[in-house]
Amino acid sequence: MKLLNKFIKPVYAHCDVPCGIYETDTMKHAADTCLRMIEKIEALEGADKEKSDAHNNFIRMVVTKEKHAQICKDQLYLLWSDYFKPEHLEKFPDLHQTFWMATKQCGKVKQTISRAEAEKLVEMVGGVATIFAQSKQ
Amino acid sequence: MFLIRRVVGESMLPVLRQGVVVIGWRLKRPNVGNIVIAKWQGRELIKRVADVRPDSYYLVGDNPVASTDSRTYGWLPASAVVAVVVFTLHL
Repeated sequence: MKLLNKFIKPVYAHCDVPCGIYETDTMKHAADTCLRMIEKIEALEGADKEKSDAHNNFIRMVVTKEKHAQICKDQLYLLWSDYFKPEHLEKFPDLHQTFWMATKQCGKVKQTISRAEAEKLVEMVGGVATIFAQSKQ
Repeated sequence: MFLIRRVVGESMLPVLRQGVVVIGWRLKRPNVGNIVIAKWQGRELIKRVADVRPDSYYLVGDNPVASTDSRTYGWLPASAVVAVVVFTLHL
């Protein structure tokens, strides 16, 4: 293998994510943005405090749904790419399809306010969890 | 007309894991879905063709959460694409 590495040139499936670099500029920018948005909402013409709060709650729920659908998607990608190995395909021939459809379903849940789509995602993630559990046996 | 390379990095998981040896064919024009070897900023990258224009290619890694690709550096000119991967060896 070492010999092989010596003679065959590398090709990079690379990622430039600057791992290990920490900073506080991003959080400061985010906090400043929150404050600025509140100032802008308060300045809206005809803004009704009570209605604004109800509207705010609705939007928060949508944002939470969006955020968690993305978490679900990220976790699916992580398990798919980093945990499962080519040999698992022999035992689970539908592995790629299962993960692919589940990640797509995350998108459906983002796009809609549909109980049926969310239930479908829960069911699909349950299927992934079953495969994961079986792969460990 | 063939070239042989070994994969370094994880942006093409789950299809190509680190250490896989790939054979590229220089004379084939890439299509959407092909895995290609392309030259960018002095080094050779391996990505999948997501979209094609007459003179350029949009390349994306199969593992998008761990890939720097056309989503960052944009369309690559056709001249940057060195070869189409036609064979992989999982050693």
